[in-house]
Amino acid sequence: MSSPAGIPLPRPGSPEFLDTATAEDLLARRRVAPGAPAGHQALDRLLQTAASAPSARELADEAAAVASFLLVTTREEPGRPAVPRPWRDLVHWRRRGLVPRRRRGLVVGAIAAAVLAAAGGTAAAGALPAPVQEFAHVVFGAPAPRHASPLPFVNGHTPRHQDGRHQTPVPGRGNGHAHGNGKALGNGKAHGKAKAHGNGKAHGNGNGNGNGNGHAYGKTKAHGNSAQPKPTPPGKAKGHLKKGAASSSSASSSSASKKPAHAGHGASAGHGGGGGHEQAAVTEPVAATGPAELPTEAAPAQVAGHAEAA
Amino acid sequence: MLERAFPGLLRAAAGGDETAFARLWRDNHPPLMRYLRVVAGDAAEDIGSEVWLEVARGLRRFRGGEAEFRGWLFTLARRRVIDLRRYRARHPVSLTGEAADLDRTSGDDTAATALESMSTEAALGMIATLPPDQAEVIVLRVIAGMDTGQVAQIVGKRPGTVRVTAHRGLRMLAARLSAQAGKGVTR
Repeated sequence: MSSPAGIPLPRPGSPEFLDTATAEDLLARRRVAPGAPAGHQALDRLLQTAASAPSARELADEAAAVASFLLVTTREEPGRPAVPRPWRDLVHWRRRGLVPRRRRGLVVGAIAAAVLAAAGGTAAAGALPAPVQEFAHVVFGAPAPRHASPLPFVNGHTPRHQDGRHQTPVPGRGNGHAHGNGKALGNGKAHGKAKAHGNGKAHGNGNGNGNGNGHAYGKTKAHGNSAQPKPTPPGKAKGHLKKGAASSSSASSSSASKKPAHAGHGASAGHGGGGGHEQAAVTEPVAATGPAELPTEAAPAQVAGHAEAA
Repeated sequence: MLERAFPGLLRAAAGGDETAFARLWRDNHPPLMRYLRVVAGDAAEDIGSEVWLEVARGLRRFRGGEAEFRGWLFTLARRRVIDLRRYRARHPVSLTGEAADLDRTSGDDTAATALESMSTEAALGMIATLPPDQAEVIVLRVIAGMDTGQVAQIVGKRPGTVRVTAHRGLRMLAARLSAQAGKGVTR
């Protein structure tokens, strides 16, 4: 082992070897013992000299240093910075950044969380632009985008969601959902679903509540089957709801479409027939026109639709 | 070291008292300049002036004791040295053959001078022949009077690394001094 200058270094165990304890003593400016090896003593003298008291020459610049200090302090009196504040802040930011380095991760995370929350809230509210909302609907299950075309009135009532909002038809892609709600009269739901096989189904359930002196419940189911179960391009299958009864009747209908690849989309508005009447034993799920009547059109290779109406 | 007088001096200097500032300067300037002579060579004087200007500007914002003040001072100096090295790396000065020979330091000559006269300058010159990291750590420990933890904080290394680096440097210095003294080194 040798130093870069080619001088061989003493090996551990030899008297000339500088052990850790001696090295620490020297670094702490403690003198080595008088009987120490010559190299250690020379090193001790060297370090003591290097850390000796300052000479007059080293302190000669004191006057200049104090003058500089006075210049700086008189320029920078408290409350009146020598450099205009905005410029000084700008320099400070450029040096250190707007956010302290330790907190940068936290700030970035908070911003990302805020953006995600805002986007999620907007998507949940259905307020995103249509293509984005569509994407969010397909990927994350957000509400489908609303379109300008209103639902047709069914028996004079606009189909509504259960919470009373107007229903918005979904241009069927894979799934079409349409909910109808007859306020105080009945509830209607219609679901449109499309599948790639040739069966079209439509289910209609109608539940009607009559508020009056009596209650009436109606349930209707409608099934539509395509005549030609071929996996085919766009078409439309319609399932017609035939009948609804308070005692939960069901009816099935066949698909009118020759292109069975599509089933109708369900939408229905159901009316509880007993509204206001003494006895509404029978509710007519009047226009549980089932899946087919909704303006929602299934996209290619979409088939089934079912409707629940009351 | 000023020890007990330090807090009062710092307060006074921060308030603009030049006498207090002069006391702080006298206590800290010599070790600072010795450090800079080892790590920055000819640029030591310029860097020292810049460091004290920065201290004068930032004195009001400083909080801490004497050890922290010295640590701040040497940290400022070290950053300036790093800036200088970067600048020199971007703007290299090419010397002619003779000038390069004149500029080259000879470790053997410096060691001999250190042993003969043992002036402060010679001792610093001897330390400066070590690899830069070893020289810096030794100067901060011996001349600036800092412990391993403080030095580690300034140079941005772990305390164990600082300790090993310092020991290696001392062993190298001891070997050179032994060789110069003519006493054979046991292999």
